Amino acid sequence: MPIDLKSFLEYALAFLTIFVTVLFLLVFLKNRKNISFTPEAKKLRSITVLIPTFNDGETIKETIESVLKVDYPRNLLEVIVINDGSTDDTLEKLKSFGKKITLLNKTNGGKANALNLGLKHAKGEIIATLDSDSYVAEDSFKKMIGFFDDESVGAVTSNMKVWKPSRFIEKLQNVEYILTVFSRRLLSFLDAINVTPGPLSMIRKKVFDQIGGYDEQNILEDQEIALRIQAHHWRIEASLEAKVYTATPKTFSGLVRQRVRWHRGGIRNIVKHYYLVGRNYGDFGVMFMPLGIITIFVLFAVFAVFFYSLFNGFAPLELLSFGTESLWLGLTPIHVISFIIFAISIVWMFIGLSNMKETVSIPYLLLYLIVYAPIVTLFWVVTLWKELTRQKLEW
Amino acid sequence: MDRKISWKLYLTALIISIIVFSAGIAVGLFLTQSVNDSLQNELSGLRSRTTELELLFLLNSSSNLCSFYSQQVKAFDQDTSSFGAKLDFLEKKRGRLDQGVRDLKKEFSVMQLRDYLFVSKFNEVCPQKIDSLLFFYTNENCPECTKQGLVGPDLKQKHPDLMIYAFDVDLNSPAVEALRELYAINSYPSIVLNGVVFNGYQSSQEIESLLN
Repeated sequence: MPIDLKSFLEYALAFLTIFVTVLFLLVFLKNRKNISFTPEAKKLRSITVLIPTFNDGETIKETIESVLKVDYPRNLLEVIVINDGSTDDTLEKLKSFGKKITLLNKTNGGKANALNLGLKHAKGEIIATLDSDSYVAEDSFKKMIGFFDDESVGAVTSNMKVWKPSRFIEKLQNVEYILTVFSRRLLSFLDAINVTPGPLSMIRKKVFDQIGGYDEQNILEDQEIALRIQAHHWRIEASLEAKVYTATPKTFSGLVRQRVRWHRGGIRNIVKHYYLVGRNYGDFGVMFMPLGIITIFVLFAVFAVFFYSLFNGFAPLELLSFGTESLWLGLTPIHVISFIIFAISIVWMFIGLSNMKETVSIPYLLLYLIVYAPIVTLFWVVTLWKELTRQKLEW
Repeated sequence: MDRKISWKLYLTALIISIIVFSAGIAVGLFLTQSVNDSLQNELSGLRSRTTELELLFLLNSSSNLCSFYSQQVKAFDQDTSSFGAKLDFLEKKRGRLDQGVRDLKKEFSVMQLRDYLFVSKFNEVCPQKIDSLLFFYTNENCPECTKQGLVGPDLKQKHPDLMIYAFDVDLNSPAVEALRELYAINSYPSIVLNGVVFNGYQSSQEIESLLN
């Protein structure tokens, strides 16, 4: 059956999707008994919490209060807030905490720059990064610290959740975060985690001493540092029991902007750390880094061909003069494959949600799978556009 | 530093994916084949009606049956047109290279040829004439053909009694070849309106004026 380029790409993308989903399901099956495992810390190490902030007057108070409420020995906890040249009431709010926090003021230089300043002053053995719009759960630190008993562990990620999702778009992002955190936990079994998210991650100070601080030219510094951690063969663990609640975009345009920034930053990080491919980097180098690269290329190719055929007069809309008969008539193998992917995805979502001990109503699940996920994938088109038109990449 | 690589895991995932993917393709091919089969059945039904009419005409070609023949041809034409539309839809979805679609189109062309021959014989014997339009096209680099193709439905709406027979010259169909040679057609699009050949694109208005 001869196939043109568009069909070939569709089938390639479909196969890739099936492969990745099956792979993750297999990793789950192999490690299902250890999913929620939290090692009991044999020794509680000293933690320095770094909170970079820029004009987050609205949320910074609650963020700091959540840290001060954390169940952890006070003498082993240091809180450093780096005010990156805020122009709103952030500074006043910070001053109200007095001696409870160490306040560092600087002129605006970006998040990575602020974090690096914090690192210079940090006295703890473990560095915990926290975004200024995120709230940590009381038991989160104790749930993460145990992983560091293994000397080969360089960093630990947490369970990121949406703070009080009320809008439609926030609830959908919540589903997405649940599945992302679940995937990350599965990746931790293969030492293949690629990002230590800003909202709450812990990294050994020794790691920074070895690999250097954050990349100040980088827009996605939390992913970049994780890739560098991988490069130095430190292990990255994931805690499902350590919860952090973060604010997410409340509007569609806000979401687009956030994701496009992530994509564009991600591309730059991949280019910067292109060498992380190969057997030297274990499962990460052999499978997951290549998968990330291949996925971007296949997506770009699919969109390029789709838009090319659109502009060349392939009418995507046909006269449905046959009604439902046209569904039957127009059947091709790709439709069957799409249905299979849909079914496998439902299984994946079900497994993810139940193992994360979350419940989501069926309408939201279907909405997520059929509407949200495809639309978010389409954001790559905007990414491609911005890259091709060489638009400046900034916060 | 030797980091572990889970080769077995990847191989298992690959094998399972290939099995699932192949199963999907197999089911898909089976379903497309059953679509082909059902269309073949429909075409057989249409073909039988053509055969019946032809036999009837052989037995009795006197002009008293003209109104009957005329009515049959018109009723028949509706079913044929909708079947042709289904084939066009199928071709769009599956692509021109799909063998099942090509075979169906070839057989459909043969049937269209027979219908055209019947109408020609009808016109010889009967006082009421049925207008016929043959449309020859190719899908290779012929934007004029696409333009001409769009004129058909429009024309049919205004002249429901006009019989339109479209022939794709890339089918390697002896029936289409025979017709081409008969009217000495070598450029596309070309139309044959009531036996008169016109090369190149003809607009809806031009064709209508020729009919009247």
